[in-house]
Amino acid sequence: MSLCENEQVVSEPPADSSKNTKLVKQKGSRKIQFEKHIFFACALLSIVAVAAIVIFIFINSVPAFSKIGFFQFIFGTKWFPDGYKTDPSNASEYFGIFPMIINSLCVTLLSLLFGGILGVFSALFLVYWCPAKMKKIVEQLINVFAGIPSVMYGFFGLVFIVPILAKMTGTTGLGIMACTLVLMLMILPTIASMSKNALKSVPESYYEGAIALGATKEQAIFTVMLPAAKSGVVSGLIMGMGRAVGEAMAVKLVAGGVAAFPEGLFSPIRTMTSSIAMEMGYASGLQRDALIATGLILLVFVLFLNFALARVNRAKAADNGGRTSKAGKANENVKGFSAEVVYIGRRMFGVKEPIAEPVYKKKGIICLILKYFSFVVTAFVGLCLVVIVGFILVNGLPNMPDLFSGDAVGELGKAIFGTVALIFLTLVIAVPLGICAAIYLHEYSRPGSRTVKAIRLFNDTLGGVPSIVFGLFGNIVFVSWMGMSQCLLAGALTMALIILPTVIRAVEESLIAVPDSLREASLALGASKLQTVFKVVLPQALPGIFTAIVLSIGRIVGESAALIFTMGSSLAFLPQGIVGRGNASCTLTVYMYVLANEGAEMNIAYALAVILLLIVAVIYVGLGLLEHFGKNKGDRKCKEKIKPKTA
Amino acid sequence: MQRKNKAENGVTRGNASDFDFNREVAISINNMNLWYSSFHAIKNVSMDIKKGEVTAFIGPSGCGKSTLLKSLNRMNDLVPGCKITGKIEIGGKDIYGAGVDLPMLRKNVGMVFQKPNPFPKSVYDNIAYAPRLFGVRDKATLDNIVETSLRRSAMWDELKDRLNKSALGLSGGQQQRLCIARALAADPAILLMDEPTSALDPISTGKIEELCDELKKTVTVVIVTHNMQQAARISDKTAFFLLGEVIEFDDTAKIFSNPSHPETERYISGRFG
Repeated sequence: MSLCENEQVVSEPPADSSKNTKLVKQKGSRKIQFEKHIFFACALLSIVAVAAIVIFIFINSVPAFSKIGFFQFIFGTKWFPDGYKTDPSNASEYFGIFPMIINSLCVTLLSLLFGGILGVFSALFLVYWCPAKMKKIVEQLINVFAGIPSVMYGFFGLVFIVPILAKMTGTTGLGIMACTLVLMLMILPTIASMSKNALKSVPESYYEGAIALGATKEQAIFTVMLPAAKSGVVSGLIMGMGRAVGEAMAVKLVAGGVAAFPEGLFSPIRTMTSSIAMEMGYASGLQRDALIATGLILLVFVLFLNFALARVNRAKAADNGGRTSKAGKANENVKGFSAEVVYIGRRMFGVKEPIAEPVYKKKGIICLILKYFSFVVTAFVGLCLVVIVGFILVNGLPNMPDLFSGDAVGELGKAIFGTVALIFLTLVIAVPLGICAAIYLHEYSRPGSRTVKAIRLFNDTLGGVPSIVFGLFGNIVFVSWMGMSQCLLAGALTMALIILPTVIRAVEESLIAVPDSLREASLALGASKLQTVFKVVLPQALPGIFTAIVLSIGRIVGESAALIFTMGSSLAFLPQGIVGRGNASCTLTVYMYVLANEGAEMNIAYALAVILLLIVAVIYVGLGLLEHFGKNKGDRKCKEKIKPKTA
Repeated sequence: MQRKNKAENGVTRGNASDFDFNREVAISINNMNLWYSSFHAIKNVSMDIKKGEVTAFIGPSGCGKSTLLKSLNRMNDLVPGCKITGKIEIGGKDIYGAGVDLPMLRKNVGMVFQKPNPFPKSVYDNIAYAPRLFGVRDKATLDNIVETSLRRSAMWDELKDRLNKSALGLSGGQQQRLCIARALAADPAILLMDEPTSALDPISTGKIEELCDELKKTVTVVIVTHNMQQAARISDKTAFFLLGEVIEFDDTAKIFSNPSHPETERYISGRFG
């Protein structure tokens, strides 16, 4: 102790020495252990949450499997809960979800195909051919479209796409094609924005290298840059696929609801998610169990996708580090070996293949065609977005007076109250936990340890769980098991689980951006680790935390599937408390879903769509501008430094 | 091996483009000026670079030597606001004239960058990249090109067992020599090297210097370097740049023993730069 004091006296002016001695006293190793455990517990929350979701959904599916039979349930082709009610002895006859599995797969794969092509090619255009001025606007627009609630896409599908399809084909228009188009529009921004980021992070030196070897711009892009961004693009596709397979509300609005195999692209269908969304509200007994079991199948599928994503990301990390993943290595070894055998074989037997003289001639037509294809694709995507916004504005604005008069304005007020209350409660629960978890992951953990990897993996997994499954989980655990019944708190707890991965991710990223030299400076002045984190690191990371909060608000505003069975959709009265019977509430998006689903007051639905669009635009454009200005500030500083441009 | 190569080169170059690399002067720069927006980076430079020689560009940072190098295969086109006047003739063709086939120019004038930039592909695919770009699809031909290029850059024995491994797994020095092999696979007549050893350790640097000596039998090499000993060791001609002007351009031996310009002397004796 005395040694420490001496050091302090040497390094600090005497006036401060008493204070500093205090710091040294605080900085016992037990103290660090204690706070570390708290942060660790928060970080473990995502593992606990994933485990709890799997366990609770599994336990609640067991009755369905035992009564119906596992294979009869999955491969049964008839879904007829009412039949079971009249004939309860024969459960396996009436609960089969095979058609829904097939429908889900069809819709997911088709929308992934279309959305993937559109998303990747428009990202290519945006990164490589888009004029600089247009680029910023388009990037903002993509963010806004990624943030539009899925219910809005469903609503647009219902009022725009379905009638057009109906007119063209002479059917109802509901069905696989309508679902595909709606999901395509919904996952397109996700895929485009992830592909864009992947392409942007490819080093410029690859491009220069290709150009210097005689590649045209198009050839360099399609033969070097796109392959180099492959893993990022694939991550985007897998994420899009996860969103498509897990989407419930939008699909429900345009699917048609018939639990049968698809007879064509335009016959009404029902997917796993839309089945849950349709019947969970009133189901009881075996029907409820069977719906939860449907959720389990969905969850298994999504978990599988998430592990595929983790694998892709691992391969990406290995690529960046110049190493290859195990699988890649084995593959390369085999390839290398075979190439070697060919070479040796050629030598040994003296095979003199007639080696043609290389003729170097100009090529690159295919790449040129692909370039123009990306132009066309981007134009089409732009047209879609203009039509969505235009249609909603044209139909919504004239109906605005209806929304602000009569009963509607009261309901609007209640919905706004519900939304604000939910945002507040959710943030209060999730943000502190998320910050603590991020602090553990970046400040206290041993980097690269198994625990950290596991936490990250589960964090990503939690982020990929479909919101309808969160809805089921919240309904099972908070509403029924804990006996909260549908109320604000149940909704907020469910919502907190949904936004937790986003918060952890965003805060962690901002912690990473804080330079280590600041931490070292603080520690070297005698501050404890905890003081360093709270007084030096977190204030620096504040913009990142703010971003996390705004992103979370966007997510909460847009959510519907997870809320409808946890917070309810009641607009009858204002909730008096946050927990217990009678405190159910409704957010704007859920209100919109209810209106679209009932199809009664479409004029109010249109007007509500305009308001939601505005909120989303404000949130995401604001976020974009914030980042833009932040960056500009930094840029200006840099520019002043490097002004004399030299070679 | 090398001689056979040369014969092949003659054939392919003949039918690949209308560049004529059989003449004495490989690169002829005439009264060239270059601006980056308002910054005058190269001022009135004229020089003739002879075929089959190694020419070194030396000078302090920001003197325009890399800029001039990049103008020779028009990589400066990628820099916004770059404007050039004067004339650069390569293989008897004005490369800034009308109707220049840029891909063909860059195929014939290869470039190696300061930092090794292999593509995130296998060693084989890296080297086969340029031939594939220019329509070589035949597997046996590609195998042959890959082997020849690796032998020319003295890497075949190191890499023949790792042709299908990622090029990013190689060491920095190996990556840089791979980039040289990759440029050679395009069968260039001229090879531009932009401080190719500045990011490398001394042993790798030595290997690349040896390589330059070997390469000048088949290609004309222009190398930018910060390292004056390197210029003295490997080049036949040296050009000394200062503030965008060529102060002196002469035989390397003369520049380093008896420079005619006092600025050159001050620089090579280490008094500035």
